[in-house]
Parts: sequence; C-alpha cells; structure tokens
Amino acid sequence: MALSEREQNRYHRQMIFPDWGEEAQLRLKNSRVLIAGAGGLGSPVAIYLAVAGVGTIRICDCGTLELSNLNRQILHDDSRIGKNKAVSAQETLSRLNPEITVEPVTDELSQTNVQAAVGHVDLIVDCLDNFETRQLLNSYAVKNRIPMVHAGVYGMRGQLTFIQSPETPCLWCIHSGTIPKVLFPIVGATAGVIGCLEALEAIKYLSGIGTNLRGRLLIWDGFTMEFTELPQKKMPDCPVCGGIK
Amino acid sequence: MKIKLKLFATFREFLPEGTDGHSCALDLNDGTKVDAVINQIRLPGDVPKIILVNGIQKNAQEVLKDGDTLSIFPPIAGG
Repeated sequence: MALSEREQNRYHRQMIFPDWGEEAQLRLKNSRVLIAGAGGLGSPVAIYLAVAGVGTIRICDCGTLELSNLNRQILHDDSRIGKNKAVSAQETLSRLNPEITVEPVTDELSQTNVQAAVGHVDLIVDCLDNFETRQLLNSYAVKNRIPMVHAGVYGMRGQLTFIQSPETPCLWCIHSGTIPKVLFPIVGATAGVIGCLEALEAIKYLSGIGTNLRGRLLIWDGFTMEFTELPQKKMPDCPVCGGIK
Repeated sequence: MKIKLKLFATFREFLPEGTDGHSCALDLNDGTKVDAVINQIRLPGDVPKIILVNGIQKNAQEVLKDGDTLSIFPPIAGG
C-alpha cells in the first residue's frame, strides 16, 4: 500500500534522508512493535515511534498513573491520574499521529500470557523497570527470533543495547541475574536521553537505515556526560540462547 | 601478570587514586580470581554487579589470565 498525500507530507523531513524515501517509510508503516512499559523510557520511545510513522504500536503496562510518575512519564498528564498507563498512552499517541494503530495491553506480563500479550511483532522495545520481566521477554524474543532493544536507567545513568539472537548476546548473556525492585532516583531527562536512543535504534532497524548496537553495550553517565561502549560476547553455555543457531 | 580493569557508573570511584577515565592496569599474581580484585579495590561484595572478562559474562570465581580485560559495572534496572 502506498503512502497517502497526508503521510507523504507528515514524514517528508525524514523521507529526504539519503536511502530513506517512500520505501523505508513504508517499511515503518508496515511494522508492528511491542513497547513493554509506558513509563519513563516507554514515554519517549512511544512518542518518537508514533510520530515517525511506525504503523502498529502495541504498548503494554498494567500500572496505574500516579502523581509521582509525572516528573518523567511524558505520555501522561495530571488529568490521567488513576488511569491505566497503556490506555493513557493510546490516547496520547492517537492524538499525536492519527494515521497509526495503537493497541494497549493492560495485563501484567507473565509466563502464562506472554505469547498472547506480545503476539507477532517485528521488534520488542524493553522499557521495563525490572529484570525479572525483562528476562521473561528475553526468553520469548530469543525463542521466537524477535529482536529486542534493551535499556535501563537509574539516576543520571543508563545503558542500551540491541539484541538479535542468535547473532548477538541475549539479555541473559549480559546479566544473568535479577535484582530486587527498589524505589530509585530518576530525573525525567535521563529517561529522555536513553528513551530517545532506544527509539532511534528501533527506527533504524525497522526502516533498514544505519547500523544497530549489536553486541555493543552503550553506557551513559549523565553526571560526567560521557558515553562509553563495551563490546559484549555470547555466553557459550547461556541457558537461554546457547543452543540456538 | 597484568590485566586491564574497567569500572563504570557508581563503581568508578573504586579505581585506584590518580586513575584518569574508566580503566587502569593492575599487576596481579598468577591465578588471581575476580573476587580477589573486587576485595583489593574494596568494591562492596553485596552490591549486584555485572562482571565481564574480555566481553563475556563471568562470575567472581573466574581465574584471570595475563592480558585479560576485566569490566565491572552495576546492572541498571529502572525504566
């Protein structure tokens, strides 16, 4: 299906990139993405994927919006306090770009519902706030050969990588444990920096433009404003991706 | 033997005094394990860590070899 005149106009400034054009824009339009989490990271990711023209955004969050979320969760506002975050996200994204489809998933991700909640998508963007659910998504992504952008934030620091098993290390290869969920310090701009980088990784992968952080963990320190990159290798005996060729 | 130690984020403050940037060289006895390095630099044992030796995740019992690069950083879980 070709782009409408309205879509041509809406996406013009990105379509004039060398190698982008209508072809890459149609790839974005025909893409289906799961954003896991509609909080600090999920907000910039969802906003930038929506305005870039990703055709179907499935956004998953079982949480209810609280006042203390609003220093960073820019998908939502005061009027939505008490509302489910995935539903609130759908309202914002549909207003930002009525040309796309947004599917809210309000269930908590678990072993029993992960297949139904994620479904068939081209890419998963991890915007979660805990490693337990991340490892659940990682296993599903590896098993179903779905690439995943992983990121995490804390304070004024963040990390980011692009996972595509079996070519790259999976999340278990990077961190095989879980850590207790705690109330952590965060300023909205930190989620903005790392969330925007996640969105860019997703847009590049889906449109076929540029290269991704495959096997490279990007660590950002906002206190000193330094980006550092660490090469990552697969664990030879990884219980999640070890046997997959 | 000599190894390169890289520490990131909140762990950077445990690099030896005078270190510039994220990394330093360490002279160690043959057969030194990662946990001995962690003790030597006084990195708290009970804090969650991601340990990489030459880019591959290992645990604190890993025996280091001459020329290894040991990277240690805290897992960042928030979203």
